[in-house]
Amino acid sequence: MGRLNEWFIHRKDFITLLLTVVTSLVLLFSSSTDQVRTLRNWSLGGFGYLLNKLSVLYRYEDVYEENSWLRRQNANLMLDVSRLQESALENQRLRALLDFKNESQFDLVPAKVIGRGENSLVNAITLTAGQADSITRNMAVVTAQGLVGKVYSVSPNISTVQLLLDRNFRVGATVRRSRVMGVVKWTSGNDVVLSEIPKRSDIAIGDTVITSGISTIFPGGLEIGKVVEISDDDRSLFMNVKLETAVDFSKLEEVLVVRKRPLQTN
Amino acid sequence: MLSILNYLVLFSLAIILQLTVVPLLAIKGVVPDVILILVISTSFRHGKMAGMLWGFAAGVVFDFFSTRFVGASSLGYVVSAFVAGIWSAEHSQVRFGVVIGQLFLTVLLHDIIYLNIIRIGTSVGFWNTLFTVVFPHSLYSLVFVAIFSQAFPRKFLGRDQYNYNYN
Repeated sequence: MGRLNEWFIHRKDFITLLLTVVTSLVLLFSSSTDQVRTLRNWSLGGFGYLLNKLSVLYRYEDVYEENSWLRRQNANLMLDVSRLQESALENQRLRALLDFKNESQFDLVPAKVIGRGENSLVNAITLTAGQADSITRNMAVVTAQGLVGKVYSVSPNISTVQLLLDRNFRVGATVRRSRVMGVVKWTSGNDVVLSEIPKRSDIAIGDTVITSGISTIFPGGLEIGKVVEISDDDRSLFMNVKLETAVDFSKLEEVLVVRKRPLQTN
Repeated sequence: MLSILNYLVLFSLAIILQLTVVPLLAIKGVVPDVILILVISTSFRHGKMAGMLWGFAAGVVFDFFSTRFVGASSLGYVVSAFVAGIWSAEHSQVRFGVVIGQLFLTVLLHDIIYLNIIRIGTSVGFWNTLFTVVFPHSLYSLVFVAIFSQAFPRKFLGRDQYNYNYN
């Protein structure tokens, strides 16, 4: 109490100044002349501006929380956008598959690729379709673009597909334009060749190569690829015909399995 | 107690003079402020507190009777009294010019506050007010302040005339 009194006594001049100035201002603002109204508006404007600036301090906690919430929201929205973009692409792919399925004369079963890899035995992919979907061994697997491979092994809900890019894969093929026939097989990397084509056969770069249909596994007319390189070897009786596969095997996500059961037509 | 009565009479007289006779001394509309002179004198003699209290009371009464904005004069008087009171502590020898300078600054401060409150809402700008109203008003009041402080140094400033150092 003594300290408080001392504090007031030491600052009595300033306290008096403050009180008298404040009282003068109160009296001044109590008047209602035009000048005072203008002065009051100015001071209220200034006070409002100051209060608005200071209110940021009071709102700091709210702003912090709001910022955190917005960050979370932003992250979620980014994930949503990513998912939507992915869905749009998937939609495009599935539409293409669906169109192919609807237009196709084959009985097709859609399946998703859930695994891929080359082991010592076979270059293969794993599908989400199996015996439950009436999938059996050696069924052809395709996309809207063309031939992918054939079913290698089947379990109740999963099946493994031997790819066209496997060293043991062979498929009878024909050049769509000239009907020259041969056998397509993998050589290395993503390269496949149309082999056993006699020299002077009617083949040109850009020709489309399709399955010949002379097979118990692959129906005819499935696109395999296009001719990109033709070369002759003097020591050989056959031409070397290099193909670019119709299917991009690095982007396989959905495929269709061609069931052997013949399509019922009315 | 006697001192309070004296000041009561003095301030009452100053207010009456300011409202009646002093406007007759106006030169081109510029009127000296005798209440301000008395407020400054009170602050010099008795310190900030007395100057502020008397200035506040006199300002409110003057504004009330002069039908101006109640609070405008008191605000100017209070601030001037506070500033004048700061210099009242200097009882040592000071040069005459310094005292006049202190007085002028005090009067100027009052006029800047008071006359700019009066100006608000008019089309007259701040600098225009400063040069055409505030400075003339301050100088005119200073003339009276200088006369009083020279004629009655002990009564006016609370210090002996012989304490001035004119060198």
